[in-house]
Amino acid sequence: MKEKKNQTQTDASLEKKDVSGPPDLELKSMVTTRRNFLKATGFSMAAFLASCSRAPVEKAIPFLIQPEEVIPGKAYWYASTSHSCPSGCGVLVKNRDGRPIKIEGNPEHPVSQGGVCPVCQAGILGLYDSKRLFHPMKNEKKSSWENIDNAIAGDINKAISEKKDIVLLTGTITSPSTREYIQRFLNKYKNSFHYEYDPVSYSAILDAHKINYGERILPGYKFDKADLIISFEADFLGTWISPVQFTKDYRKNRDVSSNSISEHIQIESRLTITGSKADRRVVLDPEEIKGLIFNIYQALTGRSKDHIALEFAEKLIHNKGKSLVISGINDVEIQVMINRINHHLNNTGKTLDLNNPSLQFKGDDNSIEKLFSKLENGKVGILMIHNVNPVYELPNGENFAALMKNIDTTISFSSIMDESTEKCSYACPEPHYLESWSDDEFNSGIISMTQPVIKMFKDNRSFRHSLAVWSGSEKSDLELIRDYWKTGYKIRNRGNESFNLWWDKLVHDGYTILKSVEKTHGPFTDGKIISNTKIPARLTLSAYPSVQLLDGRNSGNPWLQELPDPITKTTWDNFASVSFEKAAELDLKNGDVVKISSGENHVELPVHLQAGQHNNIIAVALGYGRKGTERFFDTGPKWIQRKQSSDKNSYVGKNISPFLKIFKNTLRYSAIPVTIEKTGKTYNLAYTQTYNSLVNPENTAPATMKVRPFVQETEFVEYKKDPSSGSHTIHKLQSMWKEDHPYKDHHWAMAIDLSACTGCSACVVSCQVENNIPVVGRDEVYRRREMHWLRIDRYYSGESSDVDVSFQPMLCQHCDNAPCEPVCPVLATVHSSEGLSQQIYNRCVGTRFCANNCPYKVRRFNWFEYAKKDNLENMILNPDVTVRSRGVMEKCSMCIQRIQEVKIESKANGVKIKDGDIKLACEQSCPADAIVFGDLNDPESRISRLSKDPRHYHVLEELNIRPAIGYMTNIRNREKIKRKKDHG
Amino acid sequence: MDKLFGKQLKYISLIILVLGVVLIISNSNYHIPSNNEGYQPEQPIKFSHQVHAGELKISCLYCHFGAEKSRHAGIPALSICMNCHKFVSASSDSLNLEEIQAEKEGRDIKTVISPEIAKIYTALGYDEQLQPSGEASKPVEWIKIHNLADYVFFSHQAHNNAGVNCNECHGEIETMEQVRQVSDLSMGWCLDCHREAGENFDTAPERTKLLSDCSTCHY
Repeated sequence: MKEKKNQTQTDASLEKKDVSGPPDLELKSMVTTRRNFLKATGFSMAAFLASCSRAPVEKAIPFLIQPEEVIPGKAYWYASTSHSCPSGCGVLVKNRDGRPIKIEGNPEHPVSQGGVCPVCQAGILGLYDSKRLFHPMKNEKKSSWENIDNAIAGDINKAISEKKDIVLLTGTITSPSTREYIQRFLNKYKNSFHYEYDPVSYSAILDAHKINYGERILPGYKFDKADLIISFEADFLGTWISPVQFTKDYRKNRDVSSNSISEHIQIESRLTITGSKADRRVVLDPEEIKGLIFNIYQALTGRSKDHIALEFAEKLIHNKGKSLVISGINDVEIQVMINRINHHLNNTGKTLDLNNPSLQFKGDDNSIEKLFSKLENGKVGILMIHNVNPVYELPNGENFAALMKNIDTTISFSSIMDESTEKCSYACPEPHYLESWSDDEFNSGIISMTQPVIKMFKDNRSFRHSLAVWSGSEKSDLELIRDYWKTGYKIRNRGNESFNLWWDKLVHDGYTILKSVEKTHGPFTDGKIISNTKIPARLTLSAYPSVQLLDGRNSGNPWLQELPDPITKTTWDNFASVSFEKAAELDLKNGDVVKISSGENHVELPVHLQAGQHNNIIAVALGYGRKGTERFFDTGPKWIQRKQSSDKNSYVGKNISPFLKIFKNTLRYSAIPVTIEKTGKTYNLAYTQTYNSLVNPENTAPATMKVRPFVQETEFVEYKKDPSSGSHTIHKLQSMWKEDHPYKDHHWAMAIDLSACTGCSACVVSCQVENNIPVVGRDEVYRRREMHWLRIDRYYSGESSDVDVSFQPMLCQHCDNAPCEPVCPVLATVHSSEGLSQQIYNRCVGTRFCANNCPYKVRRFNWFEYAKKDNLENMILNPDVTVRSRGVMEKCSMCIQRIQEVKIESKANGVKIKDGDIKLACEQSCPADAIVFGDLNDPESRISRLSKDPRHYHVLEELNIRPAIGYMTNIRNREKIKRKKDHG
Repeated sequence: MDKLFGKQLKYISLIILVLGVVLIISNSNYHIPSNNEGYQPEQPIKFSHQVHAGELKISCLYCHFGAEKSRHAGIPALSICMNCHKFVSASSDSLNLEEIQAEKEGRDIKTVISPEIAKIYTALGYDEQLQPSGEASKPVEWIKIHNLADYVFFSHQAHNNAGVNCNECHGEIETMEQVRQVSDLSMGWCLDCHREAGENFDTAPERTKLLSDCSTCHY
């Protein structure tokens, strides 16, 4: 009945249509008559046919004038210098069809020696950041440089006439030419001052050298010359000063094939990647560490009774002149003691170079207080902020922001709208380093060149250029640098070639070696007497720069946000790291939100339970909770079950900087007394690994399988006695497959040295950039759907604070008898004739059987369309690798595009592929040279030698799936044999 | 509603579907997606391969120099055209014609510029005397004829250096006034050559070895 009624109504309205305008659409859509249905079918058929016609017309637009030597589709490499972090590694930038798409280490550069860190790898994304500031701004309105220059010239004149100060607040200035133009600016305007500080400060080391040697020096550390390294809280393989350079140097004295390797003792309160690699790790809280350093010095001079101190002192005396003692604590007293110890051991000049110091950090924490007193006096007329973010980074950042309001003119040079820039009246954004010129002396005597590899996108101007303009110069940035070096090179050049030749070579090579500006330091003096006051044990906060974000300057980078922390394996957050004992004492579980308080400062953070950490400390990473990270609110696929991790405008993580304090003229990151209380809330951290131990849970495995032998470990002494020590008994392997892999031409394989791998994760980001791997966002990582083709597994062995840590990079093992291959119903994953397991995206229908059958769990499924719509950001995509779409499985392809490129190139040139010609993305970036890739069919190749080494083993060898990727037993240089129970 | 999904309707829609498919296959205007064999679009400049490659015998690699060094053979930049067209502004026929005409009329010979070559000069922002005309230069938007299917990587360099002649894939380009796609560029067509070595790997010529791995083209 009802239906009929509708029918008549429809008819009525249809009739009505003829007379008086459009029909009632709502009513019409309610019924489908046969006629309508046929009409719709016919229409969709027509549409279907129309869509089947010609493919869309594509245009090919060539150059008007062919640039010399540019061939479309060919990549070009330019030497440059990374400015993503203050270490200044020499890099090669891959430029494909006019846009930079990848950064790799420059093997010739004396500092980085071919390695790069994850931050540097990811830094290239900053170039294509659409949220960058592209124009100068006045009071948050877009302006032109001409207007800005005129306005600032007026402001400078006003400040001078009012007898107010002009203050330049910068991070460490590493560019000699910038320093020169700052000096000229200071000379021109008499009431101007320059203050330098570093967000992650090394001021105490510099100050200690002022006390001991009369000069502020950050020594050059020679880890390759040291036979004994004792490090107190210095994470020199992860974040301390120049980690890539130190990792390269550290490895040189850790070659297990030689007769002796260096011994590394790490004394620390929280677990770092440096501590994980140490031969011996002592867990003490920061106060106890201070006591131990004093005791060691006293033991060296014969006055201590502390048994650990005596033991270390004995070792140190044994390695006199060949040892290196360092500390990462920003405390002048500790650093003076460290200097005394090194001087006492004759290390200065051998493992510590004071004549060719590091210039990476020159900041002075004193200047922060000086600046504050100046600001409070109201004497500052102009404040210029370059390369630092005081409102965010300084412990009293809020005060700073309040004081900034009283200044007439505030100028920021930051290229992102950060906390400080937001408060400034002018924004004079700097270009990204890949689109600008710079000259830097990060290490005394080594000039590193930065050249633009792409034309500047929009309207940015470098700090150097701006300052020079305001001092009256009309030259371009490049001319400013060349002008400086025209005189500079004459004084410091070793030879007498012409300037232009010298300059061209500098730009081509990316660096040059000059005479270092001699730092004449005085003779050693003990300095004032320092007493070691004992402080009772208390709960303290340690704020640390994380391997991914360092001080937070790259917090807007999604690759770094999604990079799992090497130790905790967390992404997209910082957290309060608490030891298991402390957590039990306070009744805390992983994910409980706690309120940490110190004086007036409070912060609420989720708890992460961490092995290998001291009970008295809470460790929290710096660099989070920064403005600019609110953009990640929307990161990840939008679907019905998606959980919003935060409010719309909230940042990723929490800022811990307000907890820092300036004590005895240095910025303190540790030993900050705090209280902790439960809030009752919980928060799920996004981990990429939740299985932390190789020990099988009780009753789940046979007695012989207590420990899963994924990671093989041994001691150096044992290894020297028996090179196969540590390897587990080989099973009697049986195969149901025929030997049908002839590998007639090449047989690609890889070996990963677990002894070398520091877990730094440079390979993970390198792989991500090379292979167009998407970022999936926090919620998806929490659902175990991260897309990294290469992950680094981290395993603990041992109990609570006394743990051994092993890292194991895990990627597609390219098994000969790959379990993933036979289960694919559509043959989308098949074996190649060169030993690679191939994944063919356009064949894949997404059954995910392969991922299910992979024993290594290295296959990644595209649950969603992850490709972004951001056209600027998409310029980073590698045109040699397919961008995968939804419903497709993917995994490590062994950088097949790189193999193909070299194969084609060598075939064209009629030469055979040499060992080392093909460098995979992970292999190239590794600062520890842990990854070796090559052809097993070439008997001379490194991989052939390594695969016959007794240390070589395969993970899950008992499955007899014969992986192409082998691992080398981890070897620690320790006497104590702490043998895990192996399985039979 | 029962009527809607009645038996007859099912048949009708099935017939329509079958008819549609037949229509797609039979009608030469419609192809299986990505098969563009026979595609012969009109280009913005009537460039004749028949004249350049056929009559004048200019080597393919003179203009498409990328073919031996890169993945892309490349569409030549106008600066490459100008290597000759700086001096040659029209066909010899029209030049001769002008000469005869001028002699007949007893006047000086005028510069003859063919309308197609004039397009090069305009694109580069030159006037008839090859001096900057003041007009902005504008690149020529050629229409790409050979579009490869998605998810496949092809290298001209590899093929060129393996001794594959341009004609083997592109047909008798030197006879074409207007370029036409000769091969269907389908995977089966690629494999016709790539599988040449087949079982006789050891005796097969070098150029056909190891080329039927998926990852030769798909990555």
